[in-house]
Amino acid sequence: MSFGFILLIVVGILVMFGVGQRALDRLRLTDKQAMLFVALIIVGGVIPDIQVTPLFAFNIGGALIPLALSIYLIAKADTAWEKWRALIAAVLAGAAVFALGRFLPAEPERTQIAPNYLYGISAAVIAYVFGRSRRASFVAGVLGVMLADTAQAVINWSQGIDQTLILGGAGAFDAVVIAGVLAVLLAELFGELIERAARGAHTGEEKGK
Amino acid sequence: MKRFSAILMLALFLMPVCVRAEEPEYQDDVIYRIYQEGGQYLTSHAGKVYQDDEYIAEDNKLYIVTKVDDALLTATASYVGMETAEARIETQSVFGGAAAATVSPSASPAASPGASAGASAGATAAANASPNASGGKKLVAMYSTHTDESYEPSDGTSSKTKGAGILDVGTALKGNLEKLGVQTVYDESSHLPHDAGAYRRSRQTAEELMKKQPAALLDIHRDGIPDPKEYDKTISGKQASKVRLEVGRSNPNSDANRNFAKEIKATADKMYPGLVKDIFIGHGNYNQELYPQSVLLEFGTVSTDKNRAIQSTQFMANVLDNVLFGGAAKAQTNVQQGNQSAGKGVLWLIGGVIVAGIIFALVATGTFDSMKHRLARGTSEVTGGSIGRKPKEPKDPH
Repeated sequence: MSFGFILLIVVGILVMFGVGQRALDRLRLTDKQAMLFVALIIVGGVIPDIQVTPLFAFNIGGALIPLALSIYLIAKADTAWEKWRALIAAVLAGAAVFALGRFLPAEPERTQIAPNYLYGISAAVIAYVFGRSRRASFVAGVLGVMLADTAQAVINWSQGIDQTLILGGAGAFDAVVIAGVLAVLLAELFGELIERAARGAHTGEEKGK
Repeated sequence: MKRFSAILMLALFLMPVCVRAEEPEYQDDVIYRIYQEGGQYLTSHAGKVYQDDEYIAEDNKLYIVTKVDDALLTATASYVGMETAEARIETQSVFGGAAAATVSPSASPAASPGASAGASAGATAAANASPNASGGKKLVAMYSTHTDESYEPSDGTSSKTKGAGILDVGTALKGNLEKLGVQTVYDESSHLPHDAGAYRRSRQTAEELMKKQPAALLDIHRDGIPDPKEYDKTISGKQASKVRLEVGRSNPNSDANRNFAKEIKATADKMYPGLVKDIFIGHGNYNQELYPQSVLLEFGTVSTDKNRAIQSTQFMANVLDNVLFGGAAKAQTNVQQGNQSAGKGVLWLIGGVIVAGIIFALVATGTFDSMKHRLARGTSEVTGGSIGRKPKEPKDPH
């Protein structure tokens, strides 16, 4: 059982127990909708990849479901500014994921944190710094990895390398899912800590008055 | 809006700018030299070495890295003791049927290929060669994360984006396994470029292969250390190359992967002494978290003649066939041991995740009481009130 799979199960349990209630509220999802998405990612992940062309394929659980959720979140954003913010965060996260892939050492033993988790962390930091939003974090994590993969594929094709681009090919284990889930969890953690600190400072100021 | 469009365009522009010319791994890789505490040279490793990395040498001595000097690219390793593993050698019994014998690598001197060395240690169970590790079929799945790795003397370069030498080695291993009746899938999907994203891309290939439930999931590589002499070996009168096994210790399946690697080495030590150079148990996971019976094999190094590596695939195929399909009882034991080892790792991980979950819940709710209240209410709601009493909502002061 992989870390990604365990992460999803744990997220499912946390959702059931209402621990991530606030995060889900901000994601505009009910508990049942969130559980449905988790289940769809797991089940969709075991279905074989859908081959669209010889050079492009995607996985239902690893790409289609997270992408659909991202589009839903962008569409549900209150203002045009929020939508732009999520998209810009996604592109910046994509650039970060791409750069991490290129500039981190090629051998995994040379990095302290596995690149799969670094993508989620970078997406969370970028999205939260840029938009202070859980929704933007999820969108940035998911779309960021997909954009980076697509950019790499385009470069490979331009160099005459016939390498198939498989979006979310590892299903529930894929970096797309890990980055999205990790980004929203980290954004929730950052957000709670920062907001709690801000509330504490505010309360302190009020008490001091 | 113009400002944000500009940022968007800038970010899109930055992506291709990040591309750099691909440098061959041979030149790009860091090579650490590992010494024993007395100063004797032990081995080299292409890639960073960390404190607590473990090393099982060719003579089955286990070392642990105690000191690393990143400036000098050296490490010091302490001798821990002999590492033992049981090897099962399939041999023809006097009754004509296949018999499996369990031997310890340190219990008897090495035997020649296919000889009855195992039998001398005593046959433990008569078994046929029908496997059941992969649902009744003899199936091995293989892929190469670094599909550019090549052998300089034979391929002319250390890295080729097309027709890489490592694919020839993988294809040869597949062919030799199939000659033994082992159905083998070698997914030659490219995972270029050879960068930090390669393991993420090969993860997709590994995950697809996993769905076939193979008896083993192998990632075929070649090493990057410069000295070919460390790998060159004459085995059964043929010029071959040694094989290094790599296990990632940063994954929940680490124990199972390690046991699997040890078993391959123990069997190889009996069948083809010197074929398995050593086992390096280092930092990283190499996607081995996906499957208990997965291991990374390095056939020779960048400066090895490719034909030597190809020759070794014949020997390795025999070893793998023996380890994985040496007998029905053996295959079952492998699966059980793999599951037990993997289960232990998963329990540790789940424990860690639960602790992280409690910290997360505490941050989200503020206090232990609030957390308990939220959990109790959640449990009650999810189970329809059958588990966990629904706490009373605080009275409205109005």
